Amino acid sequence: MTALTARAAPWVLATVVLTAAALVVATDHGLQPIREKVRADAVRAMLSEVPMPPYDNDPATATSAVMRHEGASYIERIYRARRGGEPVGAWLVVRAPGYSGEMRLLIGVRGNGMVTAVRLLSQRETPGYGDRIAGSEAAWLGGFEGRALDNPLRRLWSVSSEGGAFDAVSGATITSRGVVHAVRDALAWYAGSEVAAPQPPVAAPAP
Amino acid sequence: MAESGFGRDCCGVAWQGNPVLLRLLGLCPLLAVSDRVVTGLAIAILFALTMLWTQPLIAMLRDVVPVAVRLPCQAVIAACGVTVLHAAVQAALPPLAAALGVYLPVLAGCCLILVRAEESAWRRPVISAVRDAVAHAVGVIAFMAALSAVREALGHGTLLRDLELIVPGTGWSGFQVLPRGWRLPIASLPAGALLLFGAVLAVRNLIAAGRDGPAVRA
Repeated sequence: MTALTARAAPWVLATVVLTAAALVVATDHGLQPIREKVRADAVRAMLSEVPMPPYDNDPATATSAVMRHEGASYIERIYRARRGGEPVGAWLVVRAPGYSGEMRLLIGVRGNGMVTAVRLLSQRETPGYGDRIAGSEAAWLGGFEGRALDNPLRRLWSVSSEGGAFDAVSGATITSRGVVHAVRDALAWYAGSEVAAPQPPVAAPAP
Repeated sequence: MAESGFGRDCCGVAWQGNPVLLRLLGLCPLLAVSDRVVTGLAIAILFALTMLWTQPLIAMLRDVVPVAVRLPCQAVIAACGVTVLHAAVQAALPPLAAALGVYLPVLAGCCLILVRAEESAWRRPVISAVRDAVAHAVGVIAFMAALSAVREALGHGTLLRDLELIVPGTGWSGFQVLPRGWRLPIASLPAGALLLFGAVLAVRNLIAAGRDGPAVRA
């Protein structure tokens, strides 16, 4: 076979480029179900770390982006747990300022506004100090279990050196305060918009 | 293995003509993620798959593609293969894609792949191009396995940590090969990659000089 002449060059190149593009698009399309399944599995694994009252829906799909600033925290996303269609609680993904950069927290809240558990998803705190809330002081996060906006009173949602009700991890006051405030802000947002707002529809009053 | 020409080819390329060691090509994507065996091997395997995709295709098309547009065609074929691989890894193993970061898509511009395309695949029949691709893949995988094992052992004190990047669900943290607290942090830093690479190169050249005479270029 002889090589084609130079006049064919643009057409050959165009054919190669279009074929490659078609292949990439087709692959991307074919990968979509795998992508969704893997993503949902990762979410379920993450959520299973934080306990929740019994529910029968799939929270990985009962989710929406929140994207709301609340205090210094940023409520990123909510995953809702329902039982028989009634909300029983939710997981909130919250970003909060730490000592160095952002921390991401997963906060489980019951329908009544009580914290089930708090997990640290990622952090960049100082090794040996702030990062101990993910390591040797991980039990510290257990102190949030059962807390709610009125337990302790709202003005006491801070670290003890600022008159709050929470002892800071020693040497990591700023990190600890960030977490305490993040949980408070998440609860406040949840109480304000998720619990209060979507009331079941009430029949219109008779005129 | 040694009696078959193909096996000898593989050993020959892996040792005497190891593309990374002898020609210092493809260093950026390969060395950057060689601080752990899992990521080092992953990028080496992805490199191998890219070679096995590009080289036969380019060899197949060499009678059809005019010389004037052969380089863009080779680049597009390599980029297409890498993009497909990248999408597949991102879909199936998102943590691995995150750990490899930009060094996976950067394989598309890996000079080792493009140089082999131009030097070898463009000038050979398909079968021969496949053999060359396999031989180079074996060479790169062997080199990366060795380098990343040394870096991980020295830098982290473990072997095969973060295996769950490749096999999700194993909460396994790898073999502890050094006592805890004994480690050489520089080995896991980028500078350590180059230092160890230099050491591997020196050892290889010493052995090669003893065996083949001093005529080893580097």
